[in-house]
Amino acid sequence: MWKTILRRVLIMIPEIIILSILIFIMAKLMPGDPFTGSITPQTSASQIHQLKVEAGLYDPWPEQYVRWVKNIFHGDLGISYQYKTSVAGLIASRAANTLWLSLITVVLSYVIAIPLGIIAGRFENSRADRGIQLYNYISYAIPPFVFYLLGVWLFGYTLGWVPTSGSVSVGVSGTGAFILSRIHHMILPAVLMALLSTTSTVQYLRSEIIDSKTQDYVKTARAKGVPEKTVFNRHILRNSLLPIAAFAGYSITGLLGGSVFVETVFSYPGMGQLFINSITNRDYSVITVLVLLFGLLNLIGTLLSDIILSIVDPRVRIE
Amino acid sequence: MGKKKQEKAYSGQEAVANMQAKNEAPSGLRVLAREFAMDKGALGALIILVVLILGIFIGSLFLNTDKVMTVDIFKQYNRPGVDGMWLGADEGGRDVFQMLILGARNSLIIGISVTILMEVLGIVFGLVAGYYGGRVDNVMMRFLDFMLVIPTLMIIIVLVTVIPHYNMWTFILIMAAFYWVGTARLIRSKALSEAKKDYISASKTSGTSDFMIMVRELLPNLSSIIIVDATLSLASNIGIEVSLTFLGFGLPNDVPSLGTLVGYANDPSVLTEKPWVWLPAALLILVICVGISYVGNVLRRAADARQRLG
Repeated sequence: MWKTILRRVLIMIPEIIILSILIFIMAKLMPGDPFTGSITPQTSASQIHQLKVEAGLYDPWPEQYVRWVKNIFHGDLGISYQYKTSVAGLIASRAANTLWLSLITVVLSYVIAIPLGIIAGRFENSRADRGIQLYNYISYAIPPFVFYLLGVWLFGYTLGWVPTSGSVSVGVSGTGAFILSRIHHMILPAVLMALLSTTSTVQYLRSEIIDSKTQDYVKTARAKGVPEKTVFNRHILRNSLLPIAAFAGYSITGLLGGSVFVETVFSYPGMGQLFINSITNRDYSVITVLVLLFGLLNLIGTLLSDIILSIVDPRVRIE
Repeated sequence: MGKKKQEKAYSGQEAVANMQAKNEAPSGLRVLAREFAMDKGALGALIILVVLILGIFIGSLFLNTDKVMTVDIFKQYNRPGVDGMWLGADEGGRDVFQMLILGARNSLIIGISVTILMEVLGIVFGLVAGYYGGRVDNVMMRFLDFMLVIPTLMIIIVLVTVIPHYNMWTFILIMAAFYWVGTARLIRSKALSEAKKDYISASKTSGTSDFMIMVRELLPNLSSIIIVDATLSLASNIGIEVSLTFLGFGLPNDVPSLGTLVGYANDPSVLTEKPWVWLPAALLILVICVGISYVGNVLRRAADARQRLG
């Protein structure tokens, strides 16, 4: 199994390099440079030229790329000229919000999806199964932002159950109240996101259970006279649930991408909102780092899924 | 000659036998018709979709984009029904109903164009990888794996803001360039298993060129999967376009889309006090996307005999 993991990690290295080159080229194509924010009408053209030469902006691209990578490894991600702070600090202050929201969403989506998948699979073609399938089609087809918007309109503005923006109320004192306020802000986006991200888990669990029902080991168990309940819980369910664990990594990938929409609609100060903000304000140093970071998190998510899969399913391992 | 006659006679006999047993292998269209007859919800979805799409395309023939998009601030945020505007007016005093029809038409055109482009790309890539297999497949799959890890949405948003002379068609190209990966993976996995079958080996042995085998033999056998994938992708592509336009990184401002109308809801005062501006568009998106994907699922069931209802 270690071989599989090692091979999987080795594949990641060229992917990271290509990704970083792509993002570097993209950054070069963007208008503006690191001094855009510090240039005033008084700065003369020769001074700007001088600054650019010193920063090495006229060097050949490969040289600049190597320097850029070196800086990243030294933790120097550049300066945001919209906020006038270091990009690393800016992103760190937003990352926790997004990660918390994603974590709660993942947990909620499993809490919703697993029972639904079990019911749909166990009582195949029953009325409950039909209903769950319908929910699946709808949750898959709805563009998420429409759903979030209807949600914030109904529960946030019309009914006033939850706050409509931010991640914590102003003027909250005490740890308990602080945590409660955080949860109060996160609960609606998390529930709405979770409701839309159950599709693949439900569908996969359902078809796994239906497939297992006709497997030989299940037939054997039934033939031995094992009670139906035990057959289902011990034999079918256990085997069907394992691959679901592997989805965890992929779902992180999906949620991070989706954070752009959820955070825009709920004005939730996470990385997705920071990204949209930076794009509208042409804050390219932040954009570059965010795209790179999301790419890396995607890579780690798929790596995680592949590792879990190789643990639970020995067939995918390489000898 | 005699053999042909025998075959004909046999097939006639078979048909009669099947008609008696009522379990003949039905043709594609009949399977579909039966599937829709069995699932009344799907039939309803199909009818609503057809009526909506016809209405949108015919209605948009009578509308002039420039005229509809002309700002008239005296009509700003007209309530529904005032000045003959069925659904009221937006910030610029433009008729929401007319924008809705034009926007829906544009969203549909974009969705369909992106779907066609990405299907073509995905089919070519998937067929080549799946048919040749082995090392070719390995290299091509590494490329797909890479495409899967890049943060697609963010890169599209960046490209949209960076590209000069940006218009509807560049937007379609950008979207297709990133969303064909799923189709390619699907086609590749089906082609891989299909290419191992005897009829392909037989054609290879008899000297048919690889290209002819792929186009004349492999492709028709994958057609039902392609149709299903295209329908489901259409729903999600419309959703993606609308989402990007909603964020402000989709269509240029002078081209209305359903996302433009819903995007007005980014302003809390419009969201709460002027729902006529964004709510119809939001509901229309829901109906179109859910409807198309519902019909797509019926197609999927029809394509896979094990899942059929009837």
